[in-house]
Amino acid sequence: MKRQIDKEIVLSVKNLIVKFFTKNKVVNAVNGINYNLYKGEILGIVGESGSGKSVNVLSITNLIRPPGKIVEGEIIYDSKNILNLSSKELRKIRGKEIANIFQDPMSSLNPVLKIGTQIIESILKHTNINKKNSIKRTLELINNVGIPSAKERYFNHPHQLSGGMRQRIMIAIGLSCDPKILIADEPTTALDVTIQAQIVDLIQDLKIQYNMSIIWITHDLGLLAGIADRIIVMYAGRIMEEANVIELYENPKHPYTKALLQSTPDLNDDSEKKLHTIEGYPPDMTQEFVGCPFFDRCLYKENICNQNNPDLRQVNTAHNIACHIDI
Amino acid sequence: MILAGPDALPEQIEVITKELGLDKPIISQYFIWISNILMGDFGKSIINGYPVFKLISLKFVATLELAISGLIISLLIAFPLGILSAIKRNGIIEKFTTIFTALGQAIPTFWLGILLVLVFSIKLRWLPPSGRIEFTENPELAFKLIILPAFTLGVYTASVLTRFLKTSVLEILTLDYVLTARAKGLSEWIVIIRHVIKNALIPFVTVLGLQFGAFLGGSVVTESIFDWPGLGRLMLQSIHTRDYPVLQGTILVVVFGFVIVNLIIDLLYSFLDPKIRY
Ligand SMILES: Nc1ncnc2c1ncn2[C@@H]1O[C@H](COP(=O)(O)OP(=O)(O)OP(=O)(O)O)[C@@H](O)[C@H]1O
Ligand SMILES: [Mg+2]
Repeated sequence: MKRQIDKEIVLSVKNLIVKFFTKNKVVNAVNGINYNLYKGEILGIVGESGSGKSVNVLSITNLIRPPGKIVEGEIIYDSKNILNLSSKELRKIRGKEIANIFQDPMSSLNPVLKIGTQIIESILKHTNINKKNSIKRTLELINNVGIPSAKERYFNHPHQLSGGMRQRIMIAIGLSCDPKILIADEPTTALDVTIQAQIVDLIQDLKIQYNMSIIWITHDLGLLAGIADRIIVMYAGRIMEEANVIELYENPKHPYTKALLQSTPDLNDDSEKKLHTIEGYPPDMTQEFVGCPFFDRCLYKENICNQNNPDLRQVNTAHNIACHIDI
Repeated sequence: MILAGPDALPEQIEVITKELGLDKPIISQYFIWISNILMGDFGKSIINGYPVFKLISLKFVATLELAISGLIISLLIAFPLGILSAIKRNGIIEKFTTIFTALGQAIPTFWLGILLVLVFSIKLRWLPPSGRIEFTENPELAFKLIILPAFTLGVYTASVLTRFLKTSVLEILTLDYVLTARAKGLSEWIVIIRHVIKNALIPFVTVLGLQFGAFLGGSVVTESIFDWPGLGRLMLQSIHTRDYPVLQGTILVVVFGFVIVNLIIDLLYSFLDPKIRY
């Protein structure tokens, strides 16, 4: 399973820092992350709940709302910094160049609008296609994401569709304007297992058909193994490890990634190996870390780890970790 | 007793008692009344013998006129204020809205009514202070006459509705489908108009219906200040004069109005909420 990765960068995230200024505290949701998305790849982002995955990708199209604020950083797309664009220019990128699919299809569609309306409004907004052809295109899209009797579905409301179908509709909305980048934030977490597999297959097929780059967020390292080209492991709003998928699974370098892999069930493995859980608690995101945020839970920690926050460093070709220790 | 007066002879009282059927047990009096109502006979006023139904219809038209005007005024205020104050947080509009909703709910109606008359009728002499005429008679004067009472009636409701609308818009703005809409690149106005408002209207019409139902009962205070010949005052009068047929008839009409309003609200629901289809 060797994948060709075209090394052209389509998106660069540079030193992104995002905080939430709530009434009584400041949440450090994303703390200075850097990464690239390459053309045609699926970049997986994993991490525990609260590690800043969603905030990270919402920042890409500047969708963070108060009390959240992007404090620092650049999002370079098409050699422009998205964060500096006027709201009009920004809206031309959202949904057109970079599309989003969210976690919960039950709440991501507007309950009072017809399915057709929710797809076509994107097409009408971003293209010059006339109404008649937009309807045609919408029906094709509904068909293309694997929903039969598109004409009927066009006039349905979300509550008339199952969760899986709603997620397919979300995908149709995402694809409606041929985006260059699709951001899928846990697109299958809310679905049951068989439907999950279908949606995963669908997105993989469509990726090739539409020639997109995809950022795919999940808790599930096992899922990413099958689909991602590269993986970023996030913890406490930081990138802990970044490597191509085979390297990450076969040769994980960061203690957190190791722990994460040990706590992921391997379906191909029949041996009754015990699954490990990671000791300790997820970090308190209101805290400013001097040292490594994983310190408390780390099995390999040394003195330096509590004094100095490790920068991302290269350990192998296209393999970076933020850790002082070589293991 | 009240009818015949304190100096009535026992025979007179007896005659009246018979005529009004007061010698029968209270239960059968009630059934007689009900069956008469069902046949369209609301009875007669025991004060002036005027047919209750005619009396109530006249007053009902006046009350309905005022209720609708009051509703329009409160919607005209609540809609822009509720929505704008939710969108533009911490702006001048939100400050104004906060003050308006606080005052609107705190100021007693009689005080507001009197204040309005003082300012607009007595000081500025823009609007007549009280009374009502039919729109068909003199539309301009009828319009001028209804402005102050409608406003007096509408302000409290406007502040209730404004607060309610603001809260529900604020809540909807945090929902996932609004994020979806923004992520599509839609402009903020389209997001609000297409995605937020229609959802906000669903709980809004319930509150609206309740308020309108209350208007239909006629506002004793507003009608009294502005000498508005509506149901509220009719009810008050009939209580004073112990005119039971009129009182009962009025209450019946008010209750019936409430039921009709609720029916309309249910129909509106099915129009707004695709999950409800009859
Ligand atoms: N609106 C908000 N107000 C306050 N804090 C927030 C808000 N949104 C996110 N956060 C905080 O930011 C941090 C990162 O949240 P984020 O949603 O990115 O996590 P995540 O990795 O996507 O988790 P999950 O897997 O549960 O989706 C969390 O600590 C969260 O509490
Ligand atoms: Mg998330």
